[in-house]
Amino acid sequence: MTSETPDRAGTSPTGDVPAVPAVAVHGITKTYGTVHALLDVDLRLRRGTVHGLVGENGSGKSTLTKVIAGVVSPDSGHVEYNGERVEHVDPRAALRHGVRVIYQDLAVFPNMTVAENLVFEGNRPLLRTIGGRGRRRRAIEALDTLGLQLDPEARLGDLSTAERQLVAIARTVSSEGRIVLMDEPTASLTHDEIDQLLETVRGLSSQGLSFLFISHKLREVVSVADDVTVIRDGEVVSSGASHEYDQSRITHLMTGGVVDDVSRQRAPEPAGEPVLQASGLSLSSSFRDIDLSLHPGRVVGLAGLVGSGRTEIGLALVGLVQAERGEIRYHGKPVDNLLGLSKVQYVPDDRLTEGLLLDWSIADNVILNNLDAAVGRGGTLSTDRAVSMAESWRERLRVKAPDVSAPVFSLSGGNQQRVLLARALAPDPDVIVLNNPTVGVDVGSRSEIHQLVRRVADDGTAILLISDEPAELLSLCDELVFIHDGRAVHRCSTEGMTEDDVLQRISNEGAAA
Amino acid sequence: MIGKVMRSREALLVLVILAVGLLFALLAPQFLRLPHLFGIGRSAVILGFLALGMLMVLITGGIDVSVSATAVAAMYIATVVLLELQYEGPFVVAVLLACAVGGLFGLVNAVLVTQLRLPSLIVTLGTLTLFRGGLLAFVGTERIRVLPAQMSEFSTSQAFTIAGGTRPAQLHVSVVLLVAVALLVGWALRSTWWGRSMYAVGDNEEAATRLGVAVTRVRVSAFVLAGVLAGMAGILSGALNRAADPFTIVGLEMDALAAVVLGGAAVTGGRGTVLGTMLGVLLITMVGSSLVLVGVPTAWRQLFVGLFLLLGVGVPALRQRRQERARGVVEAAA
Repeated sequence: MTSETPDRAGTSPTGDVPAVPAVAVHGITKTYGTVHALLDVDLRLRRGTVHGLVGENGSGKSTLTKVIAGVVSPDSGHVEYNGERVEHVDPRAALRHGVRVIYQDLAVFPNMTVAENLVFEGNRPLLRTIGGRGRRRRAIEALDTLGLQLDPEARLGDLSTAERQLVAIARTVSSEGRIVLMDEPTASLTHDEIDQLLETVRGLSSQGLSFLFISHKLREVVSVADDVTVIRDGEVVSSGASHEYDQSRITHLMTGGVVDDVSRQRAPEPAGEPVLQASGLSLSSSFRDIDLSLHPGRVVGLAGLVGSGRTEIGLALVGLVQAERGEIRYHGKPVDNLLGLSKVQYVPDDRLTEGLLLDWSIADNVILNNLDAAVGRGGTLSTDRAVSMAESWRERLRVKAPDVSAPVFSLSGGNQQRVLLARALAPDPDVIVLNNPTVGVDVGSRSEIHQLVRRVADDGTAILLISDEPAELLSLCDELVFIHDGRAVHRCSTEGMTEDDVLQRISNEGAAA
Repeated sequence: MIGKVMRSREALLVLVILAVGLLFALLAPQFLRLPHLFGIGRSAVILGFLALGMLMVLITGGIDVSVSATAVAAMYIATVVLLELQYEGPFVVAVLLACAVGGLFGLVNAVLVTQLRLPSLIVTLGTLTLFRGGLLAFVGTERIRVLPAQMSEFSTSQAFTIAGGTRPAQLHVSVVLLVAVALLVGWALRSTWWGRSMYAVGDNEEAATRLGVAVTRVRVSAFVLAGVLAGMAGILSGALNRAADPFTIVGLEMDALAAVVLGGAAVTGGRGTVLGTMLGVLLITMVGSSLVLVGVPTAWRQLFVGLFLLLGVGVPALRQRRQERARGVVEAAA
């Protein structure tokens, strides 16, 4: 890998002349409804460097990426690529300036093969031919660069989430991008794959590529980045060379000192009969031989990579996925499927597409799982009852809204999540499965939601928590079950565990198993 | 590799075509005579052009059920215009005129679908009726038997003739034309950025947008080309039948749709090949024009088209259902 490429020509080798940054954003503000996703954000991505962008879920990292990629247009502020100011950025303009993005939600084509995905470029003159051989070879080279053993002719839709993620990364490498934005690229990767990726990123940056590396895995950021920018609630709170930062300083900056590492006060030993018990639960495509016991008042956490099968296990418990083998007992009695039972609730991680009815009012959303309680004298739904029920939940969960007839889409992420939780809690369930309950909510809402979950557990509800975030798992759970490749590979109490322990275990299970 | 080829939709269709052909041949020996086989080719031309257009729209994730109305309107309008002008020149001008009219109608669909963001099924159901109604109301309802001279003559333009037997076997020029256009479209879909963008838009529109595909332009091109190919189908139909009949081609959009989905195209977009589509056209035409040989009334053709259409969408749906069950997707309560 030679470091002398034409792109570096503008940079003085001694570094005493400030080079034109690959990307500079100035005063970017973006508002959704009443919420600032970004507020007056500045950022400089120096050419040939890796810039770590860190922040909690919902802090605005993804929105900033989309602004730079031209997918979201900001309300004010502007973007410069290689010193050239672009007023109205659209995806094609960004691509023309060499910007390539690896999105968290995979922008790939499931019906195309791996090779077709790798060579596809959207901004080519439509009437030109693709020119088969050379491109195919480059596709295979891109796979080799990342050390991937994938059949180029395999249909992408048949691959696992991790493999698709790797293809998306390989595509960026092969498509002559100069500025690469990576939004949580390691979320579904194993330890070895992450190492391989970080090494590739470092190698490519020394060849003159510039990376914006977004992650909430601080260890990765500290190890790979040259510069670090910390963002909180849509604002830049700190920015500088990465050697000025260590993990604890970044954590402090990200949370603004609101440390949410209080773990549960009371962690009762499992006693008596479990409310919900699964034994030998298997579904060949997702998980195998899962044993789980949920006791009243205890919170069990499922830790694992995206795509490890942890979500499917949660879904199988509540009956949204049908397992092929194994037994589920509810209050000691074997049951086939718990779907539709209001005492067993599931809170999905994607509140927008799987959870809420966005056009409906808060009240209509809250009563949805507890319609019986809203039925009036005539045997039909009573608006008064629905409203008073919703009002009491609005107060209890402190949903910020003028009144419960407001449509849910008008609320901020944190308030939407509270409505979703209110709906699950309304029927007074004895089991709740929570899937990433604080995705995309601000820091304040997050800690309130955590308090709420603890309170619900203290009141005797059995909770299963699926989460991407070690901090959340440690702060809420009494016991952790680590899932790797569909198997429960390790169980332990959360007592005395650190976030690093959890991360290590999640990322290393592949090697250990 | 061989296993993969055998599992492809195209291979399956070839087997089905051979099996059905064998059945016909056993029941009616004249099925295998060259005049009949070449006749199938001639009968497949109109459907073939309609299906190619339908395929393009389907790949981008849309549907165009107005192709039959576009075809007949383009044919009738072109014929009337040329007769008014007392045009006596080469047939190719009539073809170009019909294609232009068809492309214009395709553009109407494209604008409604992309600018008003309406679902293409509803839009094209509307324009299907609109184009037909407009034709009958403003242009004419009369069957025109006297066509421009060169247009009539085209019906007897054979690519080649093989003498022998009681009557000579003749392969019509339009069959060669269809094959040539199909090869061109197939190449364009496979090997140009336009073609790859068509699949990309139908497969994952959001991803295509992010990668800089001019999504609107690509979708417009699909509808316009479907219109152009429909115009081609229309004018050829007029020439082959030696009459401009505003009541012909009605309902053929379902045959075209059946051929395309039989050929492996997904109604959800992003999938479909020219080879598969042409095999679908061949199967439908073969069954339709050979039923009479084995003593089945031609009216049954529609029945078979319906069955083929349901088979074409049913087989992949069943496969998907099986995959979903493997992922543990719960059936909705009855």
